[in-house]
Amino acid sequence: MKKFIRNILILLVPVLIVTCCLNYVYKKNSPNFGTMGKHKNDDAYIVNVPDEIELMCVGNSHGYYGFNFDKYEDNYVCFNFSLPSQSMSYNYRILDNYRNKIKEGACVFICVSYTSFFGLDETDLDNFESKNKRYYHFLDRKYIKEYDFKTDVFVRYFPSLGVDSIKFINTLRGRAENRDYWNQETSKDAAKKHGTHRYKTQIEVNVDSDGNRIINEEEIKSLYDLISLCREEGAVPILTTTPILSEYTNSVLKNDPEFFDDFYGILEQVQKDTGVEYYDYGFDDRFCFDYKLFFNTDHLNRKGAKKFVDILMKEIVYEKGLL
Amino acid sequence: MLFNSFAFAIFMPVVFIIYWAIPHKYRWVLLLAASYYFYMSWNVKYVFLILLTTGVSYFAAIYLQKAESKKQKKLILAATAIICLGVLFFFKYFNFVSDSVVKFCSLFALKLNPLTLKLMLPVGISFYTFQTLSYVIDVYKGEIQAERHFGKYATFISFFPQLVAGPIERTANLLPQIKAEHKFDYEQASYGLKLMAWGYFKKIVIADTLSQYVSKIYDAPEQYEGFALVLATLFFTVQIYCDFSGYSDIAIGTAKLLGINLMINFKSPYWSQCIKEFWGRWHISLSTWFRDYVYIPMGGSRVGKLRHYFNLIVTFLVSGLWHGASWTFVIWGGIHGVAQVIENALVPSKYNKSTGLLWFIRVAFVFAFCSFAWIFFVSDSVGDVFYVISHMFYGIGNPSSYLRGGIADIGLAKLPLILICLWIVILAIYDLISLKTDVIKLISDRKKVVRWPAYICLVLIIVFFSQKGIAAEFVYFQF
Repeated sequence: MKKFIRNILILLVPVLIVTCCLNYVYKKNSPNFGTMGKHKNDDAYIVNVPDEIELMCVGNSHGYYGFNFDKYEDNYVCFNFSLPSQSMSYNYRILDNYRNKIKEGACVFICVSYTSFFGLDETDLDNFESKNKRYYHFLDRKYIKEYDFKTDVFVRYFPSLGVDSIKFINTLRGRAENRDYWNQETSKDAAKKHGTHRYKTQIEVNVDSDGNRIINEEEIKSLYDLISLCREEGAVPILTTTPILSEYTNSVLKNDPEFFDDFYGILEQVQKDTGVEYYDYGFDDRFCFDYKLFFNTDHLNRKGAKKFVDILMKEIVYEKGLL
Repeated sequence: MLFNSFAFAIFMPVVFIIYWAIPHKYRWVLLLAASYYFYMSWNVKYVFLILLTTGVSYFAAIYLQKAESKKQKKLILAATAIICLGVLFFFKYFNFVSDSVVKFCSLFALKLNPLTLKLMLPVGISFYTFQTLSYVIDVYKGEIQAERHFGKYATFISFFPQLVAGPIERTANLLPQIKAEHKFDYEQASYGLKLMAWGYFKKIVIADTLSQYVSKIYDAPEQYEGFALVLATLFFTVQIYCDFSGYSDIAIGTAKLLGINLMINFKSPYWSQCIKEFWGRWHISLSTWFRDYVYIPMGGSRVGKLRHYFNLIVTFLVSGLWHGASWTFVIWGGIHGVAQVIENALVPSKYNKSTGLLWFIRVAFVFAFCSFAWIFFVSDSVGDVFYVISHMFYGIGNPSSYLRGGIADIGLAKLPLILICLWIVILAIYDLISLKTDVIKLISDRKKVVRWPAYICLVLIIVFFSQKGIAAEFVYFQF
């Protein structure tokens, strides 16, 4: 028995040494440590949040790709809190975590997408665990859903053990994955293909076994909480849906004619209850037929995001004298 | 508690240390407690099912031994089978049968409302039910004596390394080992640990990597066509093998750490020359179970040709149904049965030991056949199966774009492709050598400068190349 345990320990020593060395190199090479990470890749974490933010956005990938504040950063303190596949409940948790960074009178764009209020709770989804890890990097533990100490230790101190092998190799080689979707332009064929795939998947996720749409009450409640939080901090919440290609919205209409009634029904109720303003650019003619402004059917590219924010500033922020 | 979970990484060393620290007479108590804890970590409620099955089979075996007439014995056996299989039927097959009856009636314009139960399938129910049945049947046949010690018998049924996905152990192999006094054997424990490492490599490095691509395609196969469907099918062929044989290796290795030898469950199945050989190498504990308790009682091969073929097909249909409550599984079993019948009728047995190029062609053919059959296994419905089969060669007229399109559709970049190929080559070489010798023993017999770097590399590969953040349950848990 002694020999057995001794040999296990002998095996573990070199394994631990190599693991620590590789982990050190990984951390050193990773763009997610100590850099802004803004619009860098799909794993971008929220870091270096400035104080006194005046113009900001919270949302999922539509907000992440759709808001390009570059042009306005000289005049205002801007920040984009959106992350791909981010739920409304996490939008609320993030803003609550950083509420002391919001300047009084700030303008908060809350991005509402067609997926925002439907489907199962995200904790019940298969990819929840992997998606949830990113929040350990920047949120206080009380804001993390299903907080787990073990995950916390691994994410903070041994991040190389929590990433997939491809990212691990690329990072070690100093070639951090840069999925620069932003600079891509879509072709009509690609958009069509993306749209069909994406929408079918959403439909499958958002209906129960009897085919009824699952309305996620927690996500709707989070939107109310988010609006209240903004007002408590003296900020102005504005709901907005980012532009989407007509191919996508037509596909939604064709496959599920009642979808938009349900979606806008929820938003109408939120507006009625809270008095918040909602601006819908989902069907905006200035975008919805222009393939050059998107990198797929429902995500704006860099050019599209610039144009979109220009419109928001002109039609909402300046028009209403918000800042 | 999964073998590939953090909880098991704590649980196993604790059980291992206590097991070897306490006197032999208390070890079964530890194993029983550990096994029930292991099982309850999935769902506490379902522990009553395993207790019911254990209790029924325990008393049935004792009464079987006491029974004087054959009629009494048959009655006890039938009652036990009805109870044990009844539980299995209720949880696993009730909805399937109900749904099938409704669909069948609808063919005759009879509209019935399906009666469906919202039940979760208890983990490992098919495995421990079969282990229990084999015990009772063996007692009935007089091949073994009924176990009088309820605790040790319960330990035999619930022994945690093989409880949820086999190997389905025979009483004559496992029960005496649970009762026997073991002394710590360095060689056995060391072998067990190495086997576990190899199992983890197969499961969390190979199977879990491939599962992402397989799920992407087979979750919505109608959105794809051409080579993506072929690639996903080939990946599943490797995934299911690595997933299940990986589990078996971990189970066998874990048992060895406790001084217990479980039966081998896989022996390089994809290097088989014929379907019959494949089934002699794939999920051996289940294949031999069906051979001993279904095929041979029906007459096996010692009957007329037609009856023999009938026996083969029925055995494989039942085996398919055992895997899952769906017609796709039944058809999967049926295909293998029919293939064996054809093989039996057309290929003379002298060709079953080919060498050289013929050997390679035959191995490739069996691999291709198994891959084709897995389409039925992995698809959600018969409709999906026909879609996949009818669209998998779409665009093959332009081979270059067929291959490139498929790789792009499945989402394979250059680096993942290289890694997957590397893992599969390692696996294939290991299995090929395994045909002739025990690879673990072969490496263990090398000099330290050779074997230690090999062990360290394997552990590092598992640490850094395992798939993180995906649902990593073993495929066979659903059965």
